[in-house]
Amino acid sequence: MANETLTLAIKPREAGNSRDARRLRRAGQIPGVLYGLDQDPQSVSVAPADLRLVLISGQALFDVDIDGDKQPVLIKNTDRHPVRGDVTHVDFLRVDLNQPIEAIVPIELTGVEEAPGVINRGILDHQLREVTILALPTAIPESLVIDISWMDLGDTFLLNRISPPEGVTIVSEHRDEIAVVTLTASRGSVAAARAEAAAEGDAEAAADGDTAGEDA
Amino acid sequence: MLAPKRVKHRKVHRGRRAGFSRGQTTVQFGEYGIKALDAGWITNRQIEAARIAMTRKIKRGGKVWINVFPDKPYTKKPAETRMGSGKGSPEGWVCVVKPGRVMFELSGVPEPLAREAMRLAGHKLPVRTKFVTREGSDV
Repeated sequence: MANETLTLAIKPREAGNSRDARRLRRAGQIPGVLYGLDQDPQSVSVAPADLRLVLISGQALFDVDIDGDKQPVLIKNTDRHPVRGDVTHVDFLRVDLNQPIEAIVPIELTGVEEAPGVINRGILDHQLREVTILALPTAIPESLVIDISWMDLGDTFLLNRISPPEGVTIVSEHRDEIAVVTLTASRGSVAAARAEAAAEGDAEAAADGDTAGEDA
Repeated sequence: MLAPKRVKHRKVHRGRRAGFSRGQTTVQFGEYGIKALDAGWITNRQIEAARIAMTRKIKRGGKVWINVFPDKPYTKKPAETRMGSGKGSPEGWVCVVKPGRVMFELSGVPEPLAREAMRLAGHKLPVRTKFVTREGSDV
């Protein structure tokens, strides 16, 4: 969690149709909607530069300032342009800071370079990149960091190995079956291992031959 | 070469390619991807050529995903044939790609190598492409 809570200024707007949304985008604003906590949904608009700052900060929880009224929110969803990747619509979810909520947080890896399997040219497959957690809005971590420096070829990091921070619960029924990271042998690493084994075998055979000769 | 095992109809209409891709517009499986910037028909031969170019560049290590499948038959009339007399015979298989589609994905290699592999793969395809990353699509 970052220490400072960001505040994003948003403006209310009339709920309209897709043509209105298009006009708003042409005017340099991003249409959005604010909902949650059993209150009526409110159509809003936000400046792209301000929203970008919030997105790159990585903070899950921040405040929105709508006509001077500050509310804690999460970004529930963003729609993006398929080619340019610009945000075309954003959903803000109002949250109660005392109620735990479900949120999706990314899983980050550390110790990749030190993992014996990676050093031996295995294929690192980061299969589960996000996980749903249950936590108070103030306790939602930016990411769950897992250390894979122990992983060798053929090892699998299962979801139940992750120990989340205090107050955070991972929401999953099959934690002991879901793989987060796998390290498998690539064709290159298998070939290299075979070549090494063959070279070692030859060396041993040669050494044995030498000793046999000496014995004779 | 990729091709359907069996199809309901041997010949289909050419169809339209207006608009943007409606799905698979972000990197879903790997770390890096190659995104189409134009609409086009990608043949199974082009997919195979791109895959070979990519895997040769990354040599060993790394994992490749192909997110497009050529399930549309295209037909061609024989050379020096007068127009008419019905539709031509099936010639090959294509997939329809619209702007925004992430066609190939890659993981397990450093970014400069992935970028170069994707550049080579892009040269085998009949559409303009751009390199995309999982993180890059977030902001």
